[in-house]
Amino acid sequence: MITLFGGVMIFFACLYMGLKLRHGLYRRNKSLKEIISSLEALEGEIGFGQNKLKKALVAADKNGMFTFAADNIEDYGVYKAIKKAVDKYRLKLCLREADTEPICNLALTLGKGDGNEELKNITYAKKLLRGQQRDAEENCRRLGKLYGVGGALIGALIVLLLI
Amino acid sequence: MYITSTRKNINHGDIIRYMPRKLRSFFYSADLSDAREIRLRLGMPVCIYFGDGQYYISKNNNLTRIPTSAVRVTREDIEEAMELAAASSVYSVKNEIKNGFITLRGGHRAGITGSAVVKMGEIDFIKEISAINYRIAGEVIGAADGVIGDITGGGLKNTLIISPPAAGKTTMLRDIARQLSYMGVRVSIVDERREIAAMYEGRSPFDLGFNTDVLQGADKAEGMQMVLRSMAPQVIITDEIGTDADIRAIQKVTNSGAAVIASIHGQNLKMINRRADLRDMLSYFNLVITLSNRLGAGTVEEIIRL
Repeated sequence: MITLFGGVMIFFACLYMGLKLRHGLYRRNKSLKEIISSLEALEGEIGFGQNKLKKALVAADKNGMFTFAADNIEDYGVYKAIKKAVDKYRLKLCLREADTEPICNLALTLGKGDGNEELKNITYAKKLLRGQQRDAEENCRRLGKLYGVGGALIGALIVLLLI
Repeated sequence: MYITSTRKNINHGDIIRYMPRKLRSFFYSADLSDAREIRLRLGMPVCIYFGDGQYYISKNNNLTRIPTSAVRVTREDIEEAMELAAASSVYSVKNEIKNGFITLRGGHRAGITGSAVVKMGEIDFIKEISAINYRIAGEVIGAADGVIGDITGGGLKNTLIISPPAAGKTTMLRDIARQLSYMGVRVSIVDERREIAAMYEGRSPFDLGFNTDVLQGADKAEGMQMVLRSMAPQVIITDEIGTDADIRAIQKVTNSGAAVIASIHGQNLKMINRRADLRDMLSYFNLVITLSNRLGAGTVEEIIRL
């Protein structure tokens, strides 16, 4: 009975790990899409609305990261506020180090130039993030099913070996 | 019925929040209650101008007259001060920067100097900022007590306030607006340089009364005609007139039945009369008030009925 219970536990643990890894792949893709969408909204807020950055970030936010940054702008300045937000949300949004680089680089110049400069910088950041998002999408397609099924198969294999 | 006093209404906390963080602690311990300007110049000591002269902030958080022992301004301080003044949104204050200043919350202003970027023969931007001058706004309730009777007596007068720089003409205009507004007069302020009302996110930090509408940032001449059409004012108040377009706009406004109260840079009426273009303008005014600094800012030198 204990062996059976242990086997079931191992199987579900491996299945859970596989699904978690798969969720990470899908979440990363979704997060990158949300960030790109936020940057598109930010372009509108800055280019057409001429809204202050704090307000623009809140209005453009899709997943909480930019709102967190906006809340800290007055205390830390733009770069530090965005860096803090990225650090806080990176794991939650399943982002890799390379995914956050374009955002941090954008933070170095955000709010310091005129409208055209801002738009150019945002467009460039979007371009880099689209590259990352394509990579995330490819990973989802290539590894998504594998992780889901692989977790269950590895779990089953371990249980069989133990029995 | 309106109530006036001579209370000065200045919130220095507002200006300190725009100081670079590294310098802020020095300001918290200094008494800024009579300060008029704070200047940050790259590589130079932080300088505070009071009524009795200029002081520096020492490294021991005291005000000192000795610049050599004072805290100096670094490039990072200037950059941070700019970021704070522009609320991290230089793009949204680009037009103000073009004019050399940014209006801050609380009615204060940050004047800027640096390298001008010229495009199509006009200043497009100021980069490499080298100095920031914070002009601390002061609201003097009752500043217009000595002249309001002349302006309103026997109907609203078209009034010209002649004043040298920093002699209190904007403060005077602001208090005239407040007093007229509380009397029930519909007042429109055309605030091209955002000095009179200093609106920040749609609100003025000053008491301008219940009947005051503000159009800020618009060209004076154009703005006067806009508010005339849109707000049906009984009086239009504007600052620092002087161009032909301003004079034509004043002519239109006065012919439309609204009164104009405006200020102009100058020493006295004689000086204005010497300029042919401005002499013609005087025909649209019934009252001239001359201000000076003789007994402090806002000293009324002359009130002349034309």
